[in-house]
Amino acid sequence: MTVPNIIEINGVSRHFGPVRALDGVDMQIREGEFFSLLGPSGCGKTTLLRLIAGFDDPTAGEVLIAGEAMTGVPANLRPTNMVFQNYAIFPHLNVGRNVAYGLRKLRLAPDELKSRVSSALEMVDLTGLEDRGAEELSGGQRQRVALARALIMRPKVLLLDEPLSALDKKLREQMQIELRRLQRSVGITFILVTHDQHEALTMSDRIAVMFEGKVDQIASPNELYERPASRAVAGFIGGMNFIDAAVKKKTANQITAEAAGLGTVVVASEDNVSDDASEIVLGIRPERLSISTGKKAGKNRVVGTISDAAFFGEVTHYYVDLPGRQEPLAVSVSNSAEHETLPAGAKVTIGFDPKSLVPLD
Amino acid sequence: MISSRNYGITAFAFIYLGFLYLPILFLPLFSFNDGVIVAFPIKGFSTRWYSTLMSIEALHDALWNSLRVAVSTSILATILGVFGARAFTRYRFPGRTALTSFVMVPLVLPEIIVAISLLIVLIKSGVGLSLVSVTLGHVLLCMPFAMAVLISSFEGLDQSLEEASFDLGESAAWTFWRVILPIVAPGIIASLLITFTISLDEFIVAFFLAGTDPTLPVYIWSQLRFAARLPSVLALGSIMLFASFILLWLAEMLRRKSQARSGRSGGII
Repeated sequence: MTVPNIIEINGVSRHFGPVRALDGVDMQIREGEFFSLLGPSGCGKTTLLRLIAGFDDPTAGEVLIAGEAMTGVPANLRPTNMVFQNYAIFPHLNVGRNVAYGLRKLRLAPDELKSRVSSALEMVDLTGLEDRGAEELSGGQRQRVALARALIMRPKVLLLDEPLSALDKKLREQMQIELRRLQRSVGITFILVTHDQHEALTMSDRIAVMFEGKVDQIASPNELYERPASRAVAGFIGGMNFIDAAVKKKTANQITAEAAGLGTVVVASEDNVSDDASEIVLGIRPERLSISTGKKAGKNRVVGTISDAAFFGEVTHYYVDLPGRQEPLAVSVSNSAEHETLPAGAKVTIGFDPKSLVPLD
Repeated sequence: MISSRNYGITAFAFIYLGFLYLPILFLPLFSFNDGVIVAFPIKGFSTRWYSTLMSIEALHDALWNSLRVAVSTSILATILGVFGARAFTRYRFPGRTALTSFVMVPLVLPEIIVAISLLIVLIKSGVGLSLVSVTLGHVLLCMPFAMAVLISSFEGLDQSLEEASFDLGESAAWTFWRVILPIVAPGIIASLLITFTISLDEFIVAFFLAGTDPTLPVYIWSQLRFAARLPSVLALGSIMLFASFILLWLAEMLRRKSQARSGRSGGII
């Protein structure tokens, strides 16, 4: 069974003078999924969100929501609601009136209005705070009010513009889990804009990674991490070692290459690599490399020298110089109870599984 | 923080304030003096100058004229100021800064020049002189003050609040009514109070444009020729002084409240 698309972005561009904030973006967002727009600041993710909300119009292309073209439909008539980055809580209204703000047109009976507001507040764990003034709320509470105010409208799509960036780290992590739980329980499509890769990986069903107004890859968190489609995506999500390699032999599903510092490797994938490419880049995650003392080079094992080590608590990062390679290789090791940090200058053997090598453009 | 070096500055501040306000304090002082001559020594305490005010009909007419002009002026200037402040803070259009400078020009133009030019324009265009012409002149003079107060409360209005209102299904008109107006309300009231006070106290433009209906300051000026009436003019002046002070104090309180709401600081008064 295929899930229908709730949002279709067809060839959307948005130019501000000479600046191409969005450049030919295509995207399908499925009904009921938690979708994230991830990218560095200025990549166009917020511009795209504002186009979906109706605060701005595309220079070219169109946005469809639930199969209907939204061209010319203003924000107040779209089946979307937004949680703003600064939450935009109306300062002159109390919590109850903020949450009930969008219900005016429904002309509900006072009892009905009251029960809808209180159930919306219950949903975001603010039960009974109806009479609290907007100025008396903490950052986390403001965010919950903004969520309740948007969800009470029962939108087809909820848009979240960096909603967690104003919170401190602990609250942010807690809210990530809560937002995810909330999305599952209401079943509404959430579109989250974020520049925080951890946030996107933790919460999303699928993520669109954007750079300079273009979408580089749309994939699940797992696929994005394991099979990034470009160097930019690989570098933006998690740590990644990039290794220059010369193609020696290329068959279906397999590339044999001479990788700088790693020797001859056999890569069991040919994603992202054109047929006639002779020079490619291989990526390998620091935690997919192993490190051991001693000098035992061999198949998928090379010897190097530790140039630097950084202790992070649960992991230690080593930077290892390899002959034939300019930059040190980053290796991340999980720390056991009896671990000892290896000193700089120590000769070590780096081992890797060729399955972890990802060919990149 | 107070060191001996600051004594000079403190002394200067007191002398400055004394120079500014002591002469004004003579007004209420002599208005309670039981004598016609405004000079020391003071003869004794009396409220008779205040009671004579009650019986002068021309004064009552002048007061009524002034109130009508001041109320119309404050409402007109504030409505125009709301539109102006809104445009100035929300939209970027060609000539924006030049336009605001032009609105502020009456602040620095000599009032008598403004009054004479208005007189010429109104007479030549056949509008004639009445309280309406005084009101028009006062609106011109009050606009800079209305704009300054209103821009300060509109500037702090977060645009995302308006977007949130649109997003929640409201139209532009409803958004203005439900979000913008309540948030800038203290600024609007402050603007009403300030422009009311300015119009009530204004003399030169009113003197040139009033025609046969004098406003209160014009009436006071006409009474200065009669030495015997001077103490009752002082009594009237004291009342106006007190009323103006209260109004401006209220306006400043409201303006501060409005800025606190929109999270800004700094003032124009």
